[in-house]
Amino acid sequence: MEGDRVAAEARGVQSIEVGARILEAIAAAGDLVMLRDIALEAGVAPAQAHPYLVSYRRANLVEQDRQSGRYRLGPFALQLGLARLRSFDPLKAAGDAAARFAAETAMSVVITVWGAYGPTVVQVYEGSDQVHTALRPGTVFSLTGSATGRIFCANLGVEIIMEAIKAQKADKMPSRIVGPVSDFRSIKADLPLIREAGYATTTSNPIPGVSAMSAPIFETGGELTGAITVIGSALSFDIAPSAARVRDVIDLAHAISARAGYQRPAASA
Amino acid sequence: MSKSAGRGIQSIEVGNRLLVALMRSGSPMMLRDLAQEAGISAAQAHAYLASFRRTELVEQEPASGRYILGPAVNRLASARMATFDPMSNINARAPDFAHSLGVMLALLVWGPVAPTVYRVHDSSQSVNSNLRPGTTFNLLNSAAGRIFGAFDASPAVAERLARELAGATAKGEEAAFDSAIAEIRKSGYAMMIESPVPGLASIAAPVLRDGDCILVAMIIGPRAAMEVQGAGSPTEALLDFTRGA
Repeated sequence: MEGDRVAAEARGVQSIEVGARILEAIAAAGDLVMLRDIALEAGVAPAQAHPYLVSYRRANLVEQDRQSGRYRLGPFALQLGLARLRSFDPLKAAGDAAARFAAETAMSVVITVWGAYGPTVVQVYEGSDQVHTALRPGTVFSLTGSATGRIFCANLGVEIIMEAIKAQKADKMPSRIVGPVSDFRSIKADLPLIREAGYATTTSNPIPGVSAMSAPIFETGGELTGAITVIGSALSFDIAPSAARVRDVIDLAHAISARAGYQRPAASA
Repeated sequence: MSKSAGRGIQSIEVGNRLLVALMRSGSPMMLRDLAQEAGISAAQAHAYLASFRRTELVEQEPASGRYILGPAVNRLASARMATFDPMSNINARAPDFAHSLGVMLALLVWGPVAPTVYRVHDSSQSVNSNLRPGTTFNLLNSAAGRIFGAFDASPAVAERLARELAGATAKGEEAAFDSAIAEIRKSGYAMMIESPVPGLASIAAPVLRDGDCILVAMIIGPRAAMEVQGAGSPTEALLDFTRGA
């Protein structure tokens, strides 16, 4: 029995994998698409693709436009997506990935979401590298004076951000906000670059001797879930754009977003 | 030409049954249960799931070994939304619409068990509501749910309504719902005050095609701003948005 399973695992079901390529080909078309083009994209002959489409249409996974005879994905595709969204918790997925990263790298990782006072820490994974950050769930980052804050500034609407910066500046308990708060103008020019690069960094500010790098994580439709921020000693955490660790953190954030079903725009791929 | 005309592929149809079982289940599934639902042996199911996992249509929870739908289904769902009008039309106009009102906009369809959010556009400055894609609402006490109650005649909606009413504790809940629905059918929208949380109000309206409720748009904002009526009100703007699809 176990032997059978191992063999089955290795073998899989060939047509399921061909079928998945056909579905992805229809998805990639972005419009109603002809059988010929589906087959070309999926790397099969049109005559081979046709019976797949027959079976997918029976399940409403694919539908055919009556007039043009072209195909698109059907209502069952949307229901599958909704079922996945229901059983998938992006913050739990982010937390699991953050915990693994902290264990592998000995660096500290925090997950931050948008809250009433701005970027708010919801999960902290302490690395073993002894950097003391005093970050804990509930900690609020400065929007302008932290890498994490600037990720939110770069990925949320300007009105929301300007309003939140005003509120942070007027806060009666400035000590509860990590990092200095300055005007929106002071960071405005950096935001397109942060969006383009997909991350923000800082050294010794707001926490002396500590470098941090933050990257956005997204939901399936491009909604901002929050940010993942990696923190290490300024002496050992190389935040140069070419540094391997910087690439690791970008990959980490991308992997979390991809599990939520987020597809990055092709231009920044 | 009938939908089922032509020769299909047996193993694709078995695979579809596995996907349907995963969609219907609200929680991760064991191999044994999946095999049973699809009417195949556990060893066969294992081979199918190996291929589904390779293609990311299914994933396996590392800790429990149970199966859930994978990230590839989100890609397929996004492609469906992008190519199916009026959904694509509404999606394209949604960010500007939410921005023009300064509200949170949620777009919903009838999902596997309930009204389900599939997109959120947040242009509010102060709304702090835990809405995200995948969030579900009930029929009785949400603006979006009541729109489905009023405009979606599918059996799934009626079944859900019967279940919710059976579990309702307040007296006269059914009569209150029925009179609200009659009103909503006339006005074309539903408004709920202090919903989803105190201090807020939500307004929902349907996008209809050939009598089918394709999707529901729901806006959420501070109660005082949402309750305004007449020309230029959030209600009027929402109806313009949904009817323009």
